[in-house]
Amino acid sequence: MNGDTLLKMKDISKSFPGVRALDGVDFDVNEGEIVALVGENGAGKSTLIKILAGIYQRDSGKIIISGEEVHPDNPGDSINLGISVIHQELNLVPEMNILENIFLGQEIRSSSGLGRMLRRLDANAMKLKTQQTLKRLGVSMDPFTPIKELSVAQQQLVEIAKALSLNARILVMDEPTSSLAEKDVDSLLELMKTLREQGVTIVFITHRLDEVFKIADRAVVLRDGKSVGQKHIKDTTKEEIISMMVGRVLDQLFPKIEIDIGNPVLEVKNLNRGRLVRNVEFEIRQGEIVGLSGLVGSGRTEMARALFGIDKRDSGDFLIDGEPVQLDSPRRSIRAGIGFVPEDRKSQGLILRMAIYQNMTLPSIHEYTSMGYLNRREELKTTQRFIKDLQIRTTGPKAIVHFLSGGNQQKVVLGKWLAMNPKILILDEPTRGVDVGAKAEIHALISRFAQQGMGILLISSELPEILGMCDRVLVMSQGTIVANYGREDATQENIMKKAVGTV
Amino acid sequence: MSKKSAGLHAAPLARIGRGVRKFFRLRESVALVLLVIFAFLVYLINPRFLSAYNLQSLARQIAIFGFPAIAATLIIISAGIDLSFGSMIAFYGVIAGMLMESGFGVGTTVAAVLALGMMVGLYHGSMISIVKLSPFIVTLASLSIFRGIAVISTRGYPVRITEEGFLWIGQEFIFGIPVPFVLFILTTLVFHYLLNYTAFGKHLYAIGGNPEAAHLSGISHKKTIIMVYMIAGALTAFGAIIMASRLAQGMPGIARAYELRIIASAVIGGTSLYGGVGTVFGAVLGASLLALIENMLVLSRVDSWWNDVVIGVVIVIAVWVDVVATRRRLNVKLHGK
Amino acid sequence: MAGNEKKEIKLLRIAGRLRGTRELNLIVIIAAVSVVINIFQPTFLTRFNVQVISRQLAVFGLLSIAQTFVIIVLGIDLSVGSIVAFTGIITAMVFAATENVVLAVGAALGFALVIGFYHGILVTKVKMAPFVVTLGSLSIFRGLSFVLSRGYPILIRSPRIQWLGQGLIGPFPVPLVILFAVVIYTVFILHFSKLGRYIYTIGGNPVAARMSGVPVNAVIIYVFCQATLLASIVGLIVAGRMAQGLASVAAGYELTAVAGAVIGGTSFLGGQGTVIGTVFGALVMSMIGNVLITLRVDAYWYNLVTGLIIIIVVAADTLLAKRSKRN
Repeated sequence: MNGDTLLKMKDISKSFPGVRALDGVDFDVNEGEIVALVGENGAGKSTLIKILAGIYQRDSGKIIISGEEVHPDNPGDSINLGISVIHQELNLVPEMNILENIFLGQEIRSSSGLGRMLRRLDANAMKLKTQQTLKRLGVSMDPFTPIKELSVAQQQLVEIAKALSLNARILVMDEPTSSLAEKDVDSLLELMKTLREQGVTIVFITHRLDEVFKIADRAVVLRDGKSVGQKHIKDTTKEEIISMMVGRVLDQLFPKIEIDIGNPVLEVKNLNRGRLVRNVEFEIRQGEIVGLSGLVGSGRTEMARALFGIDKRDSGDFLIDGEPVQLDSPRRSIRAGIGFVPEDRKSQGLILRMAIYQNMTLPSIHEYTSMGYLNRREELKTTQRFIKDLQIRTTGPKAIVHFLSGGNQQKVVLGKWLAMNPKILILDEPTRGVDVGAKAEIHALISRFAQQGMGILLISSELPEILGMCDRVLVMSQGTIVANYGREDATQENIMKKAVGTV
Repeated sequence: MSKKSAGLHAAPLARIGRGVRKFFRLRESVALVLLVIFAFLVYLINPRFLSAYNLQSLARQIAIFGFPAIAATLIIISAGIDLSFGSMIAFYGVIAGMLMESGFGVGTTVAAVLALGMMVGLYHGSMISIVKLSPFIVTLASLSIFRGIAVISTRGYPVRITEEGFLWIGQEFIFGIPVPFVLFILTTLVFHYLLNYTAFGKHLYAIGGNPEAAHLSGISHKKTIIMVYMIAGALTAFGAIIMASRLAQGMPGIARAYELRIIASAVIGGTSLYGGVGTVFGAVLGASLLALIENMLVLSRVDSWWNDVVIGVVIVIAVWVDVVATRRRLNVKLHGK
Repeated sequence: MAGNEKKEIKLLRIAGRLRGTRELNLIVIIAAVSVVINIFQPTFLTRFNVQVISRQLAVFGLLSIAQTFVIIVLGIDLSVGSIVAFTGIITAMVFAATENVVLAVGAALGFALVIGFYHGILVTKVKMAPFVVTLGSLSIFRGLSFVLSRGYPILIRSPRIQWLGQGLIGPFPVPLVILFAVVIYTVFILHFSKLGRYIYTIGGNPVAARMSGVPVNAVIIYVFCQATLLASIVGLIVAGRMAQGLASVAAGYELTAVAGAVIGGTSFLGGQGTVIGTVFGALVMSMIGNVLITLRVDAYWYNLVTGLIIIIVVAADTLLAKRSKRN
């Protein structure tokens, strides 16, 4: 199956101000294989791929494709070299339709007349090719559907179709499964296998080692901007790859601490919002970690958002410590003692251009205010305390959040909610896109919060995380809670069965 | 497969959504409805509205607003803005007058002014896409600079234009239709083609709608932005030529505060200031609506001071209705309400 | 005492923060240019001329401060010029009808608050672009000013309203004192209060701000109200200075105000800008006309010079920032 070397990246180095992102990295890809590129956050995977995609330029090193040295200076060059990258954040134009997006920048023009940019586009040829490509992917979508009406999984298929219709020789997928539901992940992996059989070469970046072991032929490991080594999947184990990634053996990923569980701190009744949140009822007790599982699209995030008052709901009654409360806006929910760590920290959790302390004190800012005057010194003091406590690696409370690594940014988000001393903390995918080391630290922190008597609602797509962390597991499907398992009854099998709706 | 389940309970809703959408995808529909209402009102107030003379002057006015309105639409689709239209119209008009005064022929003058428009566009486009300044600031400076040059070079006096060939452009008729209107219709068709059937058009929408996606698809931001400002420059220059021809002079003080009216016509026509959305048809509707409002006030002998008030109210209502309709549509789609 | 020490530390810290900033660069350039001009034309830095400049500074300064707050929360207010004229007309008409200064001034400020509230509601609740909302108002209130006055000036025979534009407190023109008071208030709000933090936060990321408990809508409504309120204060100053309400006054000031804010370092990307920087930016805008007159340059050059200064300052700033980032 594995043919000749198609792509060779040799001794690639790249520095950013103050950081050496890549230091003499070697990376080979053979014709017709699936290579997994793995490593912790900040290991340099994305930088390497961005150099290949022409987004960054390398400082030194060689890129050789089919024996010829190449210099992709911009994304256009790289596309012309047969490299198609599907980035983590999907890059489609929402107002434009499938066909237009597939051919964006590579439109088929009728051969006659005018300049290149002003020539009439050949709509029929593009439609035909789009239909062929979609068929090859085994999907039936109308090429004229606007992107904004597609689900995330469907949009990803459009990206793949786009890559294929460019006759990409190498398809690079950066964390393609991170935003997909379990079921969609499986179909995507199947699709990747099919593409390999059709001769497409795939580079696959992921945090999820399960997926690597399901489909990849080979895994290449990066650590701290250096090549650590590579393994044929047949000849290795997960544990070995993990130890290559982190440079040490991780003993415990889920440090669950047994805690006495107290009175109900939050009771939710009759929560409704459209068709994604229907008659949701549950309670959380002091010191309890309640997991919320379910497929993406089952309404988990929507439920949490409706609860916290971000989106308008149709109905809902809430008791905190037995007292009825109004949670009509995030502001009110915060006042009532709820904290919310959102799914997407960059767009929802942080003000990236502001300092750590300005982010950290935001939900509790009235505590630093007297007669309208904001006491910056107190803010800095509190922030300094949390930086130490949460082990945020930074130069100080005035550092700009934008320049922190993903894991440290996530800790700032956690810190900002801890600083308000909440009774209830809702965490939506708190470890997404966070590397293995930071993940363990975040898990330890969550356990500690529970120990302090907080009630915690943990939303996660990763079943091991739910099973490892939680005292109780709620399963959502099609907008309702379909199961409520105690720690003993919660198994991967039980949860999945309920989540996919087969009773 | 994953997509089937996504469509499962969406099926009947999608059908309703599509029906609603078909009407409102035409973002221009608000402007169209307003246009018809206003036309009818004007006719009720004064039946002379439909006289040949009035229709001709209305058509001419549409063309005068229309050229820069198309330019503004293209620029706003790219998520840019241009505040300099008024000053540019004065500047090009003055330049045209001075060129002919110093003995250049009509053809040379028109070509030179169009070329000048493209040069200004090149400057705007480069400042925006290469130096990376905000289009608002770049064109705000130009608003001042080019008005300044127009005033300095004429010491504030109008430049008379007597060349018959030049005056033909703005004042004559082809089969009873004013020349500017004929030219405007042709221009409209060309730009409709450009936006919908060429790679340039697709790139423009993509850059306005999702610049990151456009970049990663290999579209050159610089080239596209520079090109759109150059095209817009030429269009504005042409609008200025018509204006100068109509008035038989290049006036340094003309078209003050025009820029906001031009942007208004693009916005009324459904162009979104956030970029990525807008059509030439919308620009035509917007320009027509503004011309009609002026016409209405003339015909109804209402104090001309009301002009600004009515235009302001129309801007707010047109966009308000559009925003609410769009949101309702999204609600239908997402929540089935 | 510890209190004094604290104050000293604070002053030092503020001075430290200013070093190498836009504010400092601007004031050095302005001072240098002034001194050089004064060498050639000693009339420039006379008390009289400085008072003339400071009256203009009050007008542009107040409008630019208004604009700065709006731009920081990712908005724009194109209506301020029209509001200046409209509130002038309202004051003149109410005073002509009632002879009551309090009522006349109150009506101007009251109308301004209502208009600002209307802007805020359309932007936050209806979710219309601020550009469009205030473009509508630019047209509407300029038009209404003409409609109400039929284009004629309306005299204001109140010495107290005239005092707002013409009076002196000690050597200081009243408008300058008003500006000073507003600067103190807005510096406190923007840089030392919770509201200011909210304002920057919204400019930085409105979604995250809302989810962190920032009352986004209320803050935006406040900012738009403050903008029209400041514009109406300018309306009173201008009407007082001319002793009349005039519909055509302050046309295009909205863009001058934006220029002042931007020269002072306010960024259209939101979340960036300071009151002091803006005041210096407005000072640049206020000096251009006066400098040209002092140097006996033709008034025709005013537009050109203004435009060139805007583009040069902003382009230089951007290019220097790029270079310093590279190093």
